[in-house]
Formats: sequence, structure tokens, C-alpha cells
Amino acid sequence: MTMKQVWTIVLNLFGPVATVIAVLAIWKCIEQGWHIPRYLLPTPSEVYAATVANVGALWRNTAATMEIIVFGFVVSVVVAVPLAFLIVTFHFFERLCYPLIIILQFIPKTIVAPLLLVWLGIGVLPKSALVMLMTFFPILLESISGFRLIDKRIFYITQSMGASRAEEFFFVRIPGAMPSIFAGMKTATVYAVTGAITAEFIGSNEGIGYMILQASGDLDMPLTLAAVIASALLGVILSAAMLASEKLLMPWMEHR
Amino acid sequence: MDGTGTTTQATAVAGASIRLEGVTKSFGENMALGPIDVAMEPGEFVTVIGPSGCGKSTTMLIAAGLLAPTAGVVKVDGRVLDRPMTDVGIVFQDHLLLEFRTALSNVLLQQQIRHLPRQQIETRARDLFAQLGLNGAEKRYPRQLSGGMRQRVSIARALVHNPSILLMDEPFGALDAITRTQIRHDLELLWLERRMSVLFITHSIEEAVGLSDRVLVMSQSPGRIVEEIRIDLPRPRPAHLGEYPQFAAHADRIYSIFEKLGVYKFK
Amino acid sequence: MGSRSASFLPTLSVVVVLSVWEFASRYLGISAHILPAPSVFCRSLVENAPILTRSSLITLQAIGVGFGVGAVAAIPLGFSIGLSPALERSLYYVIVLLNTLPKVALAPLLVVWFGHGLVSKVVLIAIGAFVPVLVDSIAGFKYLDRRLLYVSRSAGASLFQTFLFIRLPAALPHIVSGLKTSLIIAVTVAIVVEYVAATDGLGFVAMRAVTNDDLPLVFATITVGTLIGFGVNAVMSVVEWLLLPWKGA
Ligand SMILES: Nc1ncnc2c1ncn2[C@@H]1O[C@H](COP(=O)(O)OP(=O)(O)OP(=O)(O)O)[C@@H](O)[C@H]1O
Ligand SMILES: [Mg+2]
Repeated sequence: MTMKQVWTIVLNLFGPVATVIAVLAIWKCIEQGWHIPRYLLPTPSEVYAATVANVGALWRNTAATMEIIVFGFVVSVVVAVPLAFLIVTFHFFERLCYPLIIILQFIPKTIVAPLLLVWLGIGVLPKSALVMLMTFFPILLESISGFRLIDKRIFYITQSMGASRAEEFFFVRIPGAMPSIFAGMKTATVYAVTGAITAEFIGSNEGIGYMILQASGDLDMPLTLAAVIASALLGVILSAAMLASEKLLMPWMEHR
Repeated sequence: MDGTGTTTQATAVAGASIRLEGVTKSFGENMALGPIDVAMEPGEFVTVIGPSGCGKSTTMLIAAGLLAPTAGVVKVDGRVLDRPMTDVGIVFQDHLLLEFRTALSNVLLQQQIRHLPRQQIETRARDLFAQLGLNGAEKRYPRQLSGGMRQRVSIARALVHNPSILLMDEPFGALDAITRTQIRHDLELLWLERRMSVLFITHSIEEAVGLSDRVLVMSQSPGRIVEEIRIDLPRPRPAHLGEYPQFAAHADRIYSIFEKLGVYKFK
Repeated sequence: MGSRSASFLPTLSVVVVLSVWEFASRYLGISAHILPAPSVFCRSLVENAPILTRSSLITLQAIGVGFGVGAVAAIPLGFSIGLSPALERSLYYVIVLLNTLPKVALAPLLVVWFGHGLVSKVVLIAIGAFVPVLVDSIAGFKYLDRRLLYVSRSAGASLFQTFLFIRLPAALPHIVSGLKTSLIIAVTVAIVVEYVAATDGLGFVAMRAVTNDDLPLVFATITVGTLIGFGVNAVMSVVEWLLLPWKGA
């Protein structure tokens, strides 16, 4: 190992370690300095104990949230990408949809959550619908710019090969727009988790958001924190899955 | 060998004849081209040379059936062309490769879209890669290739299905002089072997004289064909054309036409 | 053609959507408990104007303070991290984690800690606004064309002058785009806190309307939320225009 590699490893470790220490120190100071009652600010070991004691419930609720996210996200992609294609391909479609898209984009999506609850009842649907709403626009807008980026002259080549419209779509347009579509989906993952948790806050009887709300309502701070950490892990797992599928699906790109 | 297709090689494909009759093109008010008439014999190598903006690319797109002429017709083997020609290979000034496919699979796109037998086309693609000096580039993506290699891949893509017509729009324009001379020679060998009809567009007098059976000289916009020069040098032609006295004569002729047209304003 | 037809079609499509909606809820027997007609919820909007205004102001106040705190904290930090590769390397995973953390998950926790008032809202908004501004300002300060520094150094510029005339203008487009993202997140997040715990604010009004089965009011709050979205965006466009006059707008 060269000095440089050692140095890189030290740097990589330094930040996270220093952050953890800093967080713990602040934690301690708050506790001591402001005389915050113990039950409001549990120690890490208490959080750990709560995690171990509730492993089953944490797992079940995280899985429930994951299901909602995946469902909403997939629907979002399945609607947004073809819509982007239509908008780029047909000029009149663009002029028809664009104003609505602009207006809908300005709506802070979380304000729609109560309405979804009224319309769709309690269950998977309203929650997945919110996930879809929150992820839809980043994916749509990035896909539009992805489809626009393709060099039109490539279609001279495919036409001279006698390609059908469908062949053009699958051989050129989809792979050509894929990097942008993925950029949109990556932005959308955090929004997806946010949407799922928000929906679970206001109308659900399962899921990690519901669990956080319940635990905090019971003033069970160790469990609240354990559930918050689980929700963070959910975000990390989704982002990692995104990066992995990006590497798998787009071997032609330079990956970090 | 001459340009009339006397070759007896087994790989030879019969080139098609192309005729442009009274073709013009205007973009809105702006008359960009013609009227021009071109008649290419089967298996002939014809070069079009002319100043920038005179309508060369437009001519090629019209010949390929990718752009409808404002007036006039294109006929391939006597039949009027009213849709994009498909028995053709096209090379543009920039390579226009798909960045998400490896070099080999860019070439094999021809096989996929034309539904040709995979094994046979892949063998031919690999042979072309060898002939074009692309050994080892098969599995690389376009961004991992040099500009010259990309252009060679796009030439391979245009040839792999053995088209009877090859259309090339300044295919070597972006290359350095050394690569350009080599690739010119490689193309000439491929053509000698296959004898497809070639319409080759260039700015370079050396390329025009070095490659073709016939050079068509175009005037400024709206371009017309003002001169036709038959090049009867033996093939394959050498890297340094200066050794033929005829080369200098042909080159001089083209220069003087350009001077007469006012393309060059030397004092 | 031209600009007249360019603004004509958009207006037309909005008008068409609203009229179809109005028609459907009036004559197709769609209950006002499911889809109130635009005329109905516009009336509700007018009737409830006082409470909607007051709650919007409360939400906006939290957004303003939280966004300000988050942005002010993020930019200098982004500057330091952008200029120091060692710092960036070492904080990389921390930033990635911060970025992927769903901030709204913290809302119930903050409510327990800071109560039902302004503070918990402000804290969550600040955290939410902090991250995008941080990420974008790191990018802004990091990717500086080094030749610009040669220019300023050969002109004998002081460190402060280099910052003011070279680094800051180069980073500003990134920072502004981070501010835009984070302002939208701020609005989104503020509403969530109000769902969870607040006793006031736009999110609270929406939740209460749902409980009272007052769908016109729900639609009215969504309309107000959209207006806030528009307004916030308009403010950012003005800021962008002021900070980046060379981008033109
Ligand atoms: N799609 C188009 N719309 C409008 N005008 C066009 C279009 N394509 C070409 N033209 C015009 O037609 C004329 C001929 O263009 P063309 O591309 O055929 O020239 P060229 O001879 O290939 O030039 P160069 O040697 O620079 O490539 C030019 O004046 C150009 O501006
Ligand atoms: Mg051209």
C-alpha cells in the first residue's frame, strides 16, 4: 500500500468517525447542559436495545413502506417515461400538456395527501399515489430532456436500414434517453420515501412512518429513534439499488 | 482494373445505377440546390466536390431518399425512389454511432434491424474490423475509441450488409491527414473487392482524385454541376499521388474551375 | 403563429380542463364530497379567506425562517468543503447519508423535543433546506476553471478579492439552483410537520377539513398551496435575476 492509499482510507474513515463523535458529544452536552429529561433523549445503548427488542416490528413496517414505495415508483416511471416520449415526439401534445405540467409541478405535493386519503381510503392506494405524485415530475422532466438530447441524424441511419418506428424506439430512443431517465429516478428516490412516510403519518396503520408516529406519541424515544434510523436505511438501500441497476443497465457510462 | 465492373471476384456485389433528374431543393424561400442531373453507372465511384454550403449534403440526403426533392426525381435501377432507400450504407461527416453500443454491436445493428442471419453478419463484421485496422476495438464503447477509429466503425456499419450503394458525406473530414490517407486506401481496397456504387462527397481535391472514377464539380449555392472530370489513374492508387503527372493535371483543373467560379480569390 | 398562439393553447387547455371539471361535477352527478366543482371550492376559498390567509402566513413564516437558517448555514460550509478535497473526501459519506435521509421522518421526533409551535417546523425546514444548498454549493465552489485563478493571481488580487470577484460568481448559478430546490422542499416539509402536530398552518387546516368532510375546503387549501408554490418560485426567479444578471431572464 502506498502512502496515498493509506491517506485516502484515513480520510474516508475520519469524516464519519468524527461526525459520530461530534453527534454523541452534542447529545451529551444537551443532556447535561439543558437538563433534558432522560426519557426524551435516550442513550445510543437504549436505542440499540429498543432496536433489538423490536426487530420484528421494525422489519415488518419497513417492508410495508418499501412495498408502497416500489409500487408508486414503478407506476410513476411507467406513466412518466411514455408521456415524456409523446411530449417530445408530438408537438401538439407538448403544447397541450405543458401548461398543466407547469401548474401541477408548482403544487407542493404533500398538500394533496389529505385529498388522496378521502378519495382512496386507507390502504396501499393513497400512499402509493402520493409516492407517485412526488416522484412523477422529476422523472418526467428528466426524461423529456433525455429524449430531446438524441441526435436526430441518427434516424437517417435507422431509416436507411428500414427500421420501423417501434424499432427506432427500442434500439435508439430508449437507450439514448436512459441516462437522463435514471438521473430523474435517482432524484426521485428521496422524494419517494418522503411521500410514503408522509402518507403513513396521516392515514395508515402500518409502515415505518406510522411506527415513528406511534412511538413518538407513546414518548418511547428509543423506539422512535430506532424507527427513524430504519427509515434512513430504507433511503440508503433504495439509492444503492438505483446505483447498482444503473451500472448494470448502462455499462457504457463512466461510473463513479 | 477500371470502373466498369470487370472483376470476377466471388464477393463482388452488383452495384445499382442511380440517376438524379432535374433535382432541386429549396428550404422555404431559399433555393439551396440545383437543378442538377447525375447519372451513376452500377459499380461506379463518383465524387462530388464543391464549396461549403453549395448543397452537397442535401444532394446526398435526396439520393438516399431521406429528403424529398422540391422538383425532379431520383431513380435507382430505373425505378423512382419515393421512400428511404434501404439497399444502402451511409457514412456521415461525424460518425453518428450509438454511444450505448459497443463498436461491434453498433455494426450489428444492421443485422438486428434488417433481420439478417447473425452468424454470417458477425463474421463479416469481424472481417471488416480486421480490414479496417480495428482489431481489438470490438468490445469498446464509442467514447473509448479515437476519432479515426469511430469513423472506421461507422464505415464498417455502412458496409457490413453488402449494400449495392454506398453514400459518404465527407467521411474523413474530421480526421488527421495521416489517418485520412490510410483510410482512403482501405476504402479503395474494399470497393475494388465489392464494386458497389459509391457517391462520395468531399472538400478535398486529393481525396476526389485519389478515389474516384469520375469527379463532379459543383458551384456555389444554389449548387449546380459545372464540370465532370474522368479520372483514369490505375488502381489501387498510391498514398502519394504526386508521382502521377495526371494527378497534378486533374488537381489543377479543379483549382482553376474554383478560381473561375470565384470560390478562390487568389491575387 | 408566434407568441399569440403560444400563449393561446396553454390558456385554452387550462380553460378546457376547468370547464370539463365544472360540467362533470354539475351535471354528471359527481358528489361534492368527491369532486367539488371549481365554482364550489372557489366559493369556499372566498368564505374561508381569513383563516386561509392566516394559516398561510404562519406556514410562510416558518418556511422563511427555516429556509434562511438552512441556507445561511449551508453556503459557508459548502465553500469550505468545495475548496478542501481532504474535507470533501472525509465528509463524503456523511453528506450522502444526509442526502438520502428522508427528513420528514424526523417530524414526530422534533415535535416531542420542541413542542407544537414554530420551532419544530423551523428546525425541520432548516434541515430540509440545508442539504440541497450544501450539495450544490460544494459543486459550485469545486468546479472552478483553474485558469480564472491564474488571471486573478497575476492581477495581484487578495484572497478576499479572489473570492468576491472569481469564486463567488462562478459558484452562484449552482447555489441558486440549490436554493430553488430547497425552497420547494421547505414548503413540502412544512406542510408535513403541520399534519403531524401543529395547531395551525395550512397543513393543519387541510387535515381538519378532511376530518370535517369539507372537500371544498380541502380543494381550497390545495389551491392556496399551489399559489404559495407559484409565489415562492416567483421570488426565487427574482432572486436569480438579481444575483445572476449575466444569465439573462
Ligand atoms: N434543414 C435545412 N433547413 C434550411 N436550410 C438548409 C437545411 N439544410 C441545408 N440548408 C441550406 O442549404 C444549403 C446547402 O446545405 P448543405 O448542407 O447541403 O451544404 P454542403 O454543401 O453540404 O455544405 P458543407 O460542405 O459545409 O457541408 C445551405 O445554404 C444550407 O444553409
Ligand atoms: Mg455537408
